[in-house]
Amino acid sequence: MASTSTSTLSRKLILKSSDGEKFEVDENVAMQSQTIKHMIEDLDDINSPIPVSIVTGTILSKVIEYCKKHATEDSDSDEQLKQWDKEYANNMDLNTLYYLLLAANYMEIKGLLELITQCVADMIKGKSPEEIRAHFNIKNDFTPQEEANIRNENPWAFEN
Amino acid sequence: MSRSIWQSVGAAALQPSFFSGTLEQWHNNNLDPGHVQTMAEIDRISSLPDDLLSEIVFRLSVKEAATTCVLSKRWRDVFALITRLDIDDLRRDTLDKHNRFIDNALRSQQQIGLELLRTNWVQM
Repeated sequence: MASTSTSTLSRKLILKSSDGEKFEVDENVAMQSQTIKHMIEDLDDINSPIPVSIVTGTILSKVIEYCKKHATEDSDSDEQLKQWDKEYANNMDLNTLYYLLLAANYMEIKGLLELITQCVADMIKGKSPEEIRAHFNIKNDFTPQEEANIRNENPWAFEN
Repeated sequence: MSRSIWQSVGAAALQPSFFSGTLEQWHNNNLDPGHVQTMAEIDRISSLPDDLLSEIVFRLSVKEAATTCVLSKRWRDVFALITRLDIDDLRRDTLDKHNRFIDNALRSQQQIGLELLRTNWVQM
């Protein structure tokens, strides 16, 4: 169990990851996910674990960390929250960012989705195509001629 | 709550359009962090669904976004999907240069599928 919340007002829900790990969270934390929010509305028994069947426990714990921070709106200023978001995203490796992005998309957590897509976009900014490929391990499957053609079609994109 | 509801929601939300296998196969290939290959070898970002990869490219300037179309065929195709781009970080020294940038972006519209260009370049 990974709950540290001390709230006594909110109902508790249990989220179950794809690999069977269970997380007890406050309802308002879980409600950061639109997907879960819709599910809760139809739920007969809130005591039964809600399967988040495509997200592993490792990733779900990180998703919950984000949701907990953003469920308590009044505790931090916007600036503090932005700083927290930045540090949260910067602490993730590429592999984790990838799974977080898929999880945020699946669980419909708009803020997390925006945070991670922006984080990845920031990794692209200011880099040459060669540097971007190296950073993400992207294999260049163009022939030299094909690549030259693309550069010639849009020379404005490749000038410094 | 049954599993099947999650799975039906998940299938639509997660499965990329270019992947034709079952959702389960997609999970096995892509959603298991302990999967065979390590991050040092694998290019995960290119395997993101079209809408997520587009969302990333959308957060770049037109120039940066256009640069991505030379990365690989996958990125070229994603860039072609994008129909809206913001020119929001132009820091050109002169209006002439700025105009040339816009002209070039618009001229390449047919090649790269831009439908709307918005500029908030306000410093004259």
